[in-house]
Amino acid sequence: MTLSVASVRATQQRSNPIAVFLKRDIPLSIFLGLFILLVVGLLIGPWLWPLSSDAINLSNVLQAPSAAHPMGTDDTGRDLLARFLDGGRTSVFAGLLIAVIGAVLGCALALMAGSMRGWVDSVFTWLTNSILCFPAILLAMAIAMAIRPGVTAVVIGLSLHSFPWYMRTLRSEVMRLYGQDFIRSTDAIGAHPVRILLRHVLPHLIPTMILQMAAVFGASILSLAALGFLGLGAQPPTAEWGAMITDGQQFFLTGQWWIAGFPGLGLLVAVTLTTLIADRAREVLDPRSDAV
Amino acid sequence: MLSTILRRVGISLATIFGASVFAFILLRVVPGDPARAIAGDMATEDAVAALRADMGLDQNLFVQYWRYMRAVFTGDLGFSYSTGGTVNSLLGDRLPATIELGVLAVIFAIGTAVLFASLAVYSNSRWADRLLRTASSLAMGSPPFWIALLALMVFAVQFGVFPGPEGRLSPGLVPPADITGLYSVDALLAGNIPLMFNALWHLVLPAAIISIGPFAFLSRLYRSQLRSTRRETFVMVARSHGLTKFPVFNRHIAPHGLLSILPAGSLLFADLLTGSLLVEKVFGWPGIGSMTADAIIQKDFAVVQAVLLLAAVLYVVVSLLADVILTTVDPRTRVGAR
Amino acid sequence: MPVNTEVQRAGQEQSTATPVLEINNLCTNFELPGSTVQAVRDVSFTLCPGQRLAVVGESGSGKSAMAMSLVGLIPPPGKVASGSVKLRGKELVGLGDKEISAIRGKDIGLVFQDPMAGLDPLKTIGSQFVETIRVHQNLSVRQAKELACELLAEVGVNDPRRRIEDYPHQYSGGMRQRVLIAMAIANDPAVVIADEPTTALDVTTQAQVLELLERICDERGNALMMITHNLGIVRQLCDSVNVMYAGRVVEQTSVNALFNEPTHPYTKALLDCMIDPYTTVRGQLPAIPGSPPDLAAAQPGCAFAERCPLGSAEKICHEQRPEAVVLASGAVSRCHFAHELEGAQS
Repeated sequence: MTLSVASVRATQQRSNPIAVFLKRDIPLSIFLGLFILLVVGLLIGPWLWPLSSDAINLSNVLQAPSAAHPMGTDDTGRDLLARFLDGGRTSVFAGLLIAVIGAVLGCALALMAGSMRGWVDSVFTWLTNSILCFPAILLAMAIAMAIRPGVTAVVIGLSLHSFPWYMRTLRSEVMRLYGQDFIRSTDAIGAHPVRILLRHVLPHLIPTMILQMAAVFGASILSLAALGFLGLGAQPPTAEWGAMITDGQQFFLTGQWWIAGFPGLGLLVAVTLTTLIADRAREVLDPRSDAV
Repeated sequence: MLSTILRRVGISLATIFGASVFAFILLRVVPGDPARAIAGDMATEDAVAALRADMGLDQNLFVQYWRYMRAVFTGDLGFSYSTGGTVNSLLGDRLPATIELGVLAVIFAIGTAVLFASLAVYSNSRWADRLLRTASSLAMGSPPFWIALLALMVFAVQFGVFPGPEGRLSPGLVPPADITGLYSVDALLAGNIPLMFNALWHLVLPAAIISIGPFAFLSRLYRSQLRSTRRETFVMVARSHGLTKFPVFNRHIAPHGLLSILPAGSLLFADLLTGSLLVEKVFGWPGIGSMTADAIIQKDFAVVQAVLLLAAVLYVVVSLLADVILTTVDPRTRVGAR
Repeated sequence: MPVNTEVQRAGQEQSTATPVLEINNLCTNFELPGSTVQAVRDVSFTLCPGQRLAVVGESGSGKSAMAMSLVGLIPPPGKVASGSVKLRGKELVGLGDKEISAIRGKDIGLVFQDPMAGLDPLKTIGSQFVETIRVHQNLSVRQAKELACELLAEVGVNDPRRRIEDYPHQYSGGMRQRVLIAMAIANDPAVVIADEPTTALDVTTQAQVLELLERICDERGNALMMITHNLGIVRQLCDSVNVMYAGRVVEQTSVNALFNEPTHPYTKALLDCMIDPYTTVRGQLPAIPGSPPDLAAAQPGCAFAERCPLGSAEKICHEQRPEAVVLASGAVSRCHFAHELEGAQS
């Protein structure tokens, strides 16, 4: 009974997922709208907001939020809204980069492992297991130390940890698809293996991949900020939310909460939104599953 | 069952081997010269060369790896240039503080995740479920180091109910005699109850903050397992036998949820380590996390290498243990079919 | 509604016995966002001690939803919207969890469709059985275990004393269904509801489980409500039938009358779909054209009208809902042409 109702819903949604996303699921459209607003704000903000992010003004230090400086100023009198916008841009770009690099690499390896099986699969699985047993942040820290602290090193480090993660999820998805009748039948009618892979397997990986990209994006922004906080991420004068929190750390306990307060809030909102979007999207795609 | 376990042990050993090679390559092959890093920019080329030879960096990579692993297996993790002691003694000093923090964080994380997810699912209320999911999404999105600052501002500075960033004990207090290295336990063993409470009092805030991340994913995991178990036929059957809601939840739904937490043990461990890396520094906690953060800033390769290796080995061991426990606890794998 | 009680009495074979279960105008809805699916619509019938009632119909006709509604086990968002279910005169609709739980398993036992998923894989058969017994009977664990062993022996589990310590995965599907039947009758219920108990089993096991059910009902004298879409099972096991279509009982009759003189076109169509290996022409499986109506949509007329060989042309079938018609044979049919159908056959 309930089962048939759910499946009716599922088939309706499969027909045109994107239209249904926005039409039927109000929370998802709200979350997506807020997220797009945030990203667009961060991207065009620096053009709209006239103050520079690294203009030092010693006559104007540690100002509380006001109309002139909506997020206040720091101990060298820099406008924190400008720095917030710049820092957010750094985070969003780095997060996207990590999500995309990992997705491309991980997807390629998963397709190879899942279609070739045998020793290729074993070696790739061993490789991913070997990398995934390090915590992402620790790995990125070690790489930042070995190369040189900065956003580039962190992007490399986090991508190195994200691609095995994609690979692990997508590999099992590829395996599952190969077991299904529609792939077997295309194989049976003699379609070229590469054609099967690209035309019939790859498209079915996209939803899983996008959901995982959202998760990787959120986690990466957070990790980037964590490394920035530890002094291994963005280096001065580059603005970055994590590093801004470090800058504000000493003032936090003495009452100048805004220096570290706003970047932390920015992180919280950005990452929570991506989590909510991924959860909601997973639910809309497959109403019977529970988001984990 | 034994063959399954042996197979898992084999895979684990292969993974540890892979991880050790990976960690080794990472720190030796990437651009950058450990010897130069340690000696500093001002050192002469000769001095750096001497240091390089001393560290064995002039040998080829296989020899270096072989030497390093041989040393590790004899229990020698190397020399920490930044602190001037062996890595072993450094770890010995720092490990108990992190273990004490980690154990409490695990208790907090599992306790809150199980409690709140159970309440949300048992009450079957849409609002309770939404509240839980919002809380876990927020927990997932919260930067622990920032929350730590926030908590210090609110609880230590504003209200003064928890101590500030002063480490494991209030200033002036003498740590208890070293038995386990865990101050709260040692104080209890020494019969010094006020000292034990002081140690616990210092533990609560950092442990609670470290537990936020694990709470987020454990509560999601447990919630979704409870919800899918609730739809199982055997739950309906138990209800049809006349069991009321609570006994069915307690005896037939919750055990499946708890079982689902086991495989997440290794993730939990990784999360704890990450948490301690980020939170210990804020609280001035003398543990592995702050040690690692310092070592990385100081480019103390031996320490970083040891921590990487230790993290990987423990991760693999935890996931192996979780697997073995799962196969022994679950009757479907423990007892063969007839 | 006075019509209904009258209808029921007429439809019942054992009209003299006091019914153990009395269902009146039961309606069950599933409230979905944006629509309400009316799964069970105005169902009334009675079940007497010793009676073996079959409930037949296609998938989605509301058989299971009706059965679950009787014992308050309809899963959310489903809900009994109106009507009454009386067990020996005691109203069950609207009871709290505690009160209805005291009746489930004790007065009404249930057997479900999928025995493979019906037992908790983490608990031994014994502990689940003891739990089932001790909910309703004030016995020690040891006594309960003793009783469980007896019951397991009764349903044909060999060496119950050893097998009771086993886990569900160590039992085959047929054996699990036997265990579940034993659990359902452990507290001597007056009514056993079996919801397609053999559908998930292979054919030989099906026959054994049916025999077991028959024997148990013979020995214990409980009423049986058998939900099935298999008319063979109806003929073998039951004495009266409710035919359900689109949430309604469209025909209530005796098993003999069902096969000999169906008085609803849907019943006729169902019977025509039974495959007779001697007469069916190879390659031609009979089927009812069309598909069941959307249960969320309003139905002004007869729900079967679209697919009905009689009604598709008749205006009345599309516009007016057929009332229950009591026929001379005692059968009740919800068809505007029930009398004509009856007449055509005799």
